[in-house]
Amino acid sequence: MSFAKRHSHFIFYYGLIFLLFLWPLVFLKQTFIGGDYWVQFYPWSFHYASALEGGSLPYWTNLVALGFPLVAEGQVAAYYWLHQWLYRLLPFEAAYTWGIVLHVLAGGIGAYLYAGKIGQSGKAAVFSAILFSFSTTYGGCFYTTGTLRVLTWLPWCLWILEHVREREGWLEKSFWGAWLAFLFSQMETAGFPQLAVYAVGYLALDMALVREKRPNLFAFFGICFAFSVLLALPQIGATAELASASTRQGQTPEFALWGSVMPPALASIIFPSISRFLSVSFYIGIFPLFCLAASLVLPKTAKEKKLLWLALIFALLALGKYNPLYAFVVEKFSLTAFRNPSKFLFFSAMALSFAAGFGFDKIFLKETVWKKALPALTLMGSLIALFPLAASFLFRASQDFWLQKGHAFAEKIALQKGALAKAPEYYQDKMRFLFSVLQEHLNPLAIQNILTAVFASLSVFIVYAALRADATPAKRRRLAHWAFALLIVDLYGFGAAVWGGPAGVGFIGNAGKIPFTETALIQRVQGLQKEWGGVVAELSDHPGGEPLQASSNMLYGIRHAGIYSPLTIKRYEELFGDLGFVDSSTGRRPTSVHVWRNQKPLLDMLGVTVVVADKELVLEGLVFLEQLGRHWIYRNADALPRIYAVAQWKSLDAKEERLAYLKSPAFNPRREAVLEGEADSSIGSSGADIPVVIEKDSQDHARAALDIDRPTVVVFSGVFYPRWKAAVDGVETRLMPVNHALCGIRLETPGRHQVEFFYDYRFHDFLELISNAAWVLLGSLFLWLYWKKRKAPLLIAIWMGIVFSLYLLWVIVPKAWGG
Amino acid sequence: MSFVTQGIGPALWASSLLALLVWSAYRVGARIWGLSGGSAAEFSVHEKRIFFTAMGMALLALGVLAIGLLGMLRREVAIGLAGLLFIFSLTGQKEKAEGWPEFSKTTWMWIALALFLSWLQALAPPTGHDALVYHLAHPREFIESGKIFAIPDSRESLWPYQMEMFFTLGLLLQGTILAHLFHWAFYVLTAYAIYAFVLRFQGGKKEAEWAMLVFLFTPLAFFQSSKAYVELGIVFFTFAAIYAFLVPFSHKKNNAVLSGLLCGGALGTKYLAFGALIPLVVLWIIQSWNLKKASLLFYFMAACALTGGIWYARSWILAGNPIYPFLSGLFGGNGFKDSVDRLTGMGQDFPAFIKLPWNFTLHPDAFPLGELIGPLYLMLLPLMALSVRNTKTQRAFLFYTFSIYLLVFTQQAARFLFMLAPYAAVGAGFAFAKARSYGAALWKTTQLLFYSALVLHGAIFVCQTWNAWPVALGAENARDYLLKNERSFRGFDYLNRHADPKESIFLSAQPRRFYRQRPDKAVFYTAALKNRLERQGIAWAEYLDREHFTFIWVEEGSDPEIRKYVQTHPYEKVFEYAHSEGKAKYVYSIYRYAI
Repeated sequence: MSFAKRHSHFIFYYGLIFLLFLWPLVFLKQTFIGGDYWVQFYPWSFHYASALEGGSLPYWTNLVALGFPLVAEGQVAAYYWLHQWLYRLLPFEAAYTWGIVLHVLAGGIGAYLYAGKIGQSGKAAVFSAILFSFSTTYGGCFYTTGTLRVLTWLPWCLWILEHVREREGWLEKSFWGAWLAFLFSQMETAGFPQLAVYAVGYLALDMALVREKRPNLFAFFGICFAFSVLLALPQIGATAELASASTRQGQTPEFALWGSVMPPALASIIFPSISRFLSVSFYIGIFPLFCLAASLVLPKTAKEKKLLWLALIFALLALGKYNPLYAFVVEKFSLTAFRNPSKFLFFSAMALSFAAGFGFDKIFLKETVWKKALPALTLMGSLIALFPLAASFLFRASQDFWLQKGHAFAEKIALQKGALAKAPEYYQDKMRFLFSVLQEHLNPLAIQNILTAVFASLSVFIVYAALRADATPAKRRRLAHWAFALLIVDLYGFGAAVWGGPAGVGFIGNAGKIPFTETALIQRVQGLQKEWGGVVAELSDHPGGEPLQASSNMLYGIRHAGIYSPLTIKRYEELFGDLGFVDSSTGRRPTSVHVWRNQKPLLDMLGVTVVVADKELVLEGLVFLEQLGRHWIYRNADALPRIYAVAQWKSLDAKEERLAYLKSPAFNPRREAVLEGEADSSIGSSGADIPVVIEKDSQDHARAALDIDRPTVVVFSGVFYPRWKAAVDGVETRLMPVNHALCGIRLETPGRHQVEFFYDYRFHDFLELISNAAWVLLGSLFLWLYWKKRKAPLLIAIWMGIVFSLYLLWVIVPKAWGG
Repeated sequence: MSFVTQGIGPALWASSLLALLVWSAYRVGARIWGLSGGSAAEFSVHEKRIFFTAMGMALLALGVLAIGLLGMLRREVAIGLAGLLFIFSLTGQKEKAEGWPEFSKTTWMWIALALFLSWLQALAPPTGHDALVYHLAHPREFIESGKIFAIPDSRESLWPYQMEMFFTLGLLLQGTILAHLFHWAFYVLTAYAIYAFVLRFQGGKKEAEWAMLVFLFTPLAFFQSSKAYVELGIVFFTFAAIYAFLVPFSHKKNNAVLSGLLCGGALGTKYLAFGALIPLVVLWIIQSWNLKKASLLFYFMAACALTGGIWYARSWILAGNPIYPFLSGLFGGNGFKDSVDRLTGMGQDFPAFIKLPWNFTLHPDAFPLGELIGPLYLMLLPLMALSVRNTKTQRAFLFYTFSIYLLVFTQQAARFLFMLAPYAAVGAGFAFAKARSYGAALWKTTQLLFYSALVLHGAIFVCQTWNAWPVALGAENARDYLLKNERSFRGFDYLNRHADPKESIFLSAQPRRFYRQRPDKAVFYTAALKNRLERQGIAWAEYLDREHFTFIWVEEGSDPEIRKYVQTHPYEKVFEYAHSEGKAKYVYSIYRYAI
């Protein structure tokens, strides 16, 4: 049988739903640009691609905040192989967009192969693959494309583990172990470490739930994992360093338990209209539920049992704070680095997807005794059909009770938010709105509920027809096709919001065209920044309405004082958070003229030379330049340069005291600096400004010369971060935090000095050296193993194809294009 | 324009002359080999053609050098020399005419395409930079002076000038077409040598044909073949030298003499041939040791000196430095201070050493001057590695190749790296055999990619030669062609029309000099001149004041002192033009002294 015929169902059904969802991306009509994509992933990827074009990685960028370690942040996946090649080979738009498409496809293929490996028939494997890629798991893209990149490789890892379990011999184990190590390293560098850890946890549980060869497999797994850490060391090391300096340090258990799934939210698996309402992503389609019921009720293989257990375990983990054991462990062991337990639902849904595949086989391809399945299927059908009606009745009966609970909850949220809280009425209004939405969703006449009932009815019909004693194999095959059709309509309708409601969570709803860019404003700001240096800050009454909100400014090469990242440098957030342009993924404070007025010295210290506002501003030091459309542009005449010096300082060790002082009107950065851990303070008048001649000012290196006649603190307007170092007159010296978030050095000896502040790449170089050695070792191992397995011709053919393709892409096409 | 020839008539005449001279060289080489006691029985028919032609060509170059040094460099004497060669070639035993190589029809088609297009390109007037600076320009000066001499303030005229002797002969006998075709002949000879080598040492006819095609369709080889450069000469002679070493003669003396003669031919082409001499000396030392015959090394060195030594002797006598102007410190300061130009392409550390094939194939723009080597060598590298066997022949070949690799690694210009091409092409031949042994799937893939590369490069060659068709066939005037395609021509055209022969010019805009006819006195801004003035402590302004040139030709990138000089002295701009070459744009200005 030819390859195409053997996999015809996958090619047809998977291909159909793949194109239905993703054709705008395949044909580059749209890309993922909604929400966080516009203010994080798209501009970061753009910056990454630009850095690659220049032959390096964006270890440090000065385009956001006062500098940020973008590689260490991780989500740009700087060391991820596919990124390194895609962004080098293709134009940026194509690389960014097709990267998403390629990963969905790779994940789907992996799921298909894995499902076949664990004993499902071809059709059932296609069924599982469709559920993996297009139910609410979205192949991993339920959250961001970072999670997509990580979780694409999970089915492949599962396949390898299954394969190794069946095989004997060191050659086979070594061969697949090398591949497993490679895939682990890709998951670790793909841009979402949290999901990589969870994925490894899933794999470990997968092994633990099968008694056969458990110790050997764990040893094998451990070796592969350890080697993968070496491969991914540069990313792991850089991210660990950033994490220790980021807002994730010292978080509370509440932070870690944020995003827990409320137990009723699990009902969204049969009641999809409440998913968005309850901020949960847990729907695999109606017909798969019948497959699951068949799997549950009928005799199961060990692999099926394992999948059902995994689904249950991860669903319980997703409950987070609603799971007493989980909450206890998080609090007891201060496991606060990761948050949002709802992410565990991906693994639960994934396990259910594969379990549903087994059920599919039981319904269509096996001689199932229909009498055994019938009661369960009847119950399932009834539940699904009647649930909305029952829920609606119950809700109406207890509405007042729930309304009261809702108000109390809103008050609690307002209190929890603390400084970030909006007005209490905001939360109450939101609660009332949510109630009305819930009412709407529980209405049995709501379109989604009608559809659920219709899908359930059709599913019942298909299942009954297939399980009847007189159902021939040919009839069952036809019914299987109908089941696919039903599944595709169901998942596509839900995911693409065809029946109304917000489009698929985390997935296709993010697709769109690049937002309109206000070219005139951008060009003007670019010009001003070129002339004056410094950074831009924005003030707007409408949060999220700023034209250049960080990090979208990176697309235009404009330096911005703001930043939006879950790993924002803590000191920066603590000092500048009030100004309203710092968001460490926990929300941004609204920008306020009042706060800016009180904390204007901080703006000066940031080096904000250009202010863009959506209204007129009256602030000391701001000079109005012009109005462009609905934007007012100001110059901040008081902005301090990137390196400046003061002869007066005070030492404030207590953080709260220090921050309070820095944010107070008493602080004058032009005249004084605030240090920490210094035994002395300088007292007395600072005298005249100390002239500083800046000789070099690049992204990762600044140098200045100054003449001093007394001890001085030289302040560098770069965020304090372990990778930055300083030198005085060519000798490396201690760089210290200055003004809490910036850095600087003390000069004691009068005279002429040359000071340098530079990003120290040695840490990255060292880790990359180890990693490169590990890659060379892995590469050599691969070559040797392929050689031993007599697969040298295949490798050689691949090599020749790669060289020829690269020659065309890198040499011939540019030359032909350039004439 | 003296010496520039164009049109189909002159092209056919030049080609006929070339064929006659090459055939005569072959016959003379065969005679000399016979007269010196060498046996031809152990050569294959292809090897006879290659080695004897090489020897005859080296002898021909020495002949031109002789008449040049004697001050008899005139057309009549050149005709006489060619005639002598021809007559000498007619003497000796009549050989049975042996047939052409039995290539397949497809191979003939590809060969015909490569050779025809490169031949056509060679018919165009010279535009290659080095050709116009010295490869052709110096032979022209020799001819105009009637003798071969050390051109004052030139760095190159004391270099080994074997190829330039061919260019001199070509210019004398016919013109620029024949000069180009001499270099083109080495393109053909090298390809033929690769075919013969693979046939001898690998045995497969198909593999040998394909190895030859790999070389013929190497873009760098193709583009070089139509220019009056020397790279194909040195590539040929260095390859032939190791070939001669490896041919399994029963009397090793034959190997020693032959490889020495050919190595001498390489040394007579370019200094880089030391990269071939050193490993060959090592190989001959080992060979002599193994066979307990010290005389082998002596024969090798003597033969080397015979064909190549004269150039070094000449430099030593005239400039006190046999490898003038390099390593002046070893030769009493005769030469330049920083004598070794470092042309680093993509680094000189160990990773760069390993990655050189990858970088050179896929990042050609990083290697001056950005010419392409094509993907086939890199594609076939794993197969080449897998086909290595631990035999004496292969060890010697690989040692030689590696030595050249080490040498060119220090000078990462594309045309120096090109010296590795024949060895890589030979490797490709072995690689094809290896691919075949791995089964049908890999063999089909290899064939597909091989032919794809040929088609791709064939298309590139067609595009590249598109401009040459009209001028080659005479449909376009050479002057019009040069005005469009050669950046110095317009300036010289102006001077040739407006300058008086008695006037003088200082050229600091660019070093190309071939198209200059007037004025008679022309001084070029050269490293040698700059070096001399610096040693004497003379500034440019002082020098220009003293020489009082009628014209000064500058360009935006010229020495700032010289540009300042024309602005601050009574010179007026009389001519200005711009010329674009790819992305580069040149703006030239000619100033005349305003009386």
